[in-house]
Amino acid sequence: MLELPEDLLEELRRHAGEGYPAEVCGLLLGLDGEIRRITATRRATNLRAATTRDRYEIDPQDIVDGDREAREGNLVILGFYHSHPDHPAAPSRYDAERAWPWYSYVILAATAERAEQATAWRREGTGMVEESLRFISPGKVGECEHE
Amino acid sequence: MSKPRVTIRIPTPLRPYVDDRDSLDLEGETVQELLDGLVDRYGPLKRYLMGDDGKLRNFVNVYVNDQDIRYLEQENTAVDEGDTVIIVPSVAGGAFPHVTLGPRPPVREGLTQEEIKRYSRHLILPEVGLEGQEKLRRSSALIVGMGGLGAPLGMYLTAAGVGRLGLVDFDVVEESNLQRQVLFDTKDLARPKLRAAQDRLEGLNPGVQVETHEARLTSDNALDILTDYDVVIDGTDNFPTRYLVNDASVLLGKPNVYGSIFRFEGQVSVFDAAQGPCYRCLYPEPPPPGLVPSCAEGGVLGVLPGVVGSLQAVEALKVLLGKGDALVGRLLLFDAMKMRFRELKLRKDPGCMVCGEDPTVTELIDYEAFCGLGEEDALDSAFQIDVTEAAAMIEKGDAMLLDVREPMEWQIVHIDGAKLMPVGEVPYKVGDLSTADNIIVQCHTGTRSAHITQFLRDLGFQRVWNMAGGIDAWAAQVDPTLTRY
Repeated sequence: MLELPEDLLEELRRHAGEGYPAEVCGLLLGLDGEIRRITATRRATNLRAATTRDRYEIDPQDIVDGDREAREGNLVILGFYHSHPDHPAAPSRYDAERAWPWYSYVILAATAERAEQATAWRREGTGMVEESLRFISPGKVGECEHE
Repeated sequence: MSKPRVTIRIPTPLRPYVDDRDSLDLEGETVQELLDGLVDRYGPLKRYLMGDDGKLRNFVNVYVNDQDIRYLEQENTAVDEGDTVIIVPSVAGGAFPHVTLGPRPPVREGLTQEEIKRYSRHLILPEVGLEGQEKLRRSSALIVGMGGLGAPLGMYLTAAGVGRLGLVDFDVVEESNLQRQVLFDTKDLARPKLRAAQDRLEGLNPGVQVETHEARLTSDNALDILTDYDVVIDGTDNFPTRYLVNDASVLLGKPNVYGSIFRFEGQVSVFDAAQGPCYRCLYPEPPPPGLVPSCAEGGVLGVLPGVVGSLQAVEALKVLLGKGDALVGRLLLFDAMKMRFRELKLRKDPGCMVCGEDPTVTELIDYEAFCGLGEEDALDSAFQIDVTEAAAMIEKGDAMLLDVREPMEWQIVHIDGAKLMPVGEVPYKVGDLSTADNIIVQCHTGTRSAHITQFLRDLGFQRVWNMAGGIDAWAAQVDPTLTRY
């Protein structure tokens, strides 16, 4: 189970919309546990943007920086997000081939108008299984941390 | 003296293999030594980090402190006491190819009732039959370029029931495409070609899985894309991509069904390095840029790609069926004006730099540079002027305008007062030009005129400039009454 505060979901949608028709990508930072809680997102450079609309590769420097930022806030990189312009929010074969285990992958379907649907996935074996994704109102993350 | 002690940071997916630790301290002098030490201690980690050859996998990046070792000395990068080595997973993916997860259709035996009806004219051919038709359904082909050649290729291979068809293109449908790219409709204008092609082909035969690679084929993605298909079909319109397709096909051991068109003439061959020559055996190096005009510059009879693309489709189907005599080691030349086919024998060149006995090209290179492109950008910016500056100079009577397009283009549209001197005539008519005059060279979009500007500068003309963007930019910015083509 992955929890994503609604304001961060809005930020991901905004990013996907601004980048359309290219794919955008970024990092998901937060707290690991039975329920994974995303507490921050970070936009990343798509190294493939110059050559293709339909692929992404996150600049490793963004991961190095994100990892440092996460450690400083006692967080971890929980996973990554990317948009699928004019495509459903489901992993492509290439997504599955290139996915790492453990990480959560959030996919946003984006159109010229806006990004709507968001889904989350994890690699299991050689395929991807959908991870349940819950949108929560922003205040709730703080409450959970103090439990 | 003891070796430097270095901290290695482990990304979360790999922590289960190192007792759930996020970092480890190890000793070593280079990155390679540290990584070897790491996989010695934690064996199961090896398959994530290294290939069978012990080299770092390309989906793993390594940083020393804050620097990517690719920009240092790769695995040989030296480390110092107290450095941090960070293992960074390469995170990639994307909607491409348009195959959502899972549904590669399961391999099934036999043909359905619908398939038997659809393919009945194939099934009664002894050379195809049930067995051949099933073979086609299990096979795959990749068409690079959905232009004039890609259109008949896409339609015939889809209609014929090739199981999986990959398409590579990056463009949108433009008006000037519709004279020959019969896959597209007028209502497709401005749509990405692959979206339009996918709709059309899936409508033609829903049994075929159409995979779209909406990308410019580059040295970075070519092997990834080509590797997934049984045969590669070259429908490209430029030299860098043609050499790229050839080299990638040779490196992957795939047959490459080649076709090219120009004005009224076409060429077809099958390059299969396992059995015969490759494109580089025929043309080891590209012609100098600007020498061979593209279809956009030289024109092409609309039906010509229909003929040549259909011939390529025939060859692709034969290769997939394993029947007939493929056009390997033969170059078929077609001249539509004379309505004549000729055939040239091609020999494999043992010295070929890609498929020869001792190849020097063993990985993909920079094909733009290889083909001398990017050089028109290299035309000194001081020798370029934009259309508004050009218009001002001409208005004042300070400069003459030299139009280096072809006479047919001149007939469509030209700028009043310009002097026509087609590219090919410039070397012979250079005497008609005066080095004392200010000369502005102009063509359709600024490419040919850039070459002529450089040519004249090299001859000692000091007052020559290229009009960037050509007559097309002039029509957009200076005189909107002019026809654009």
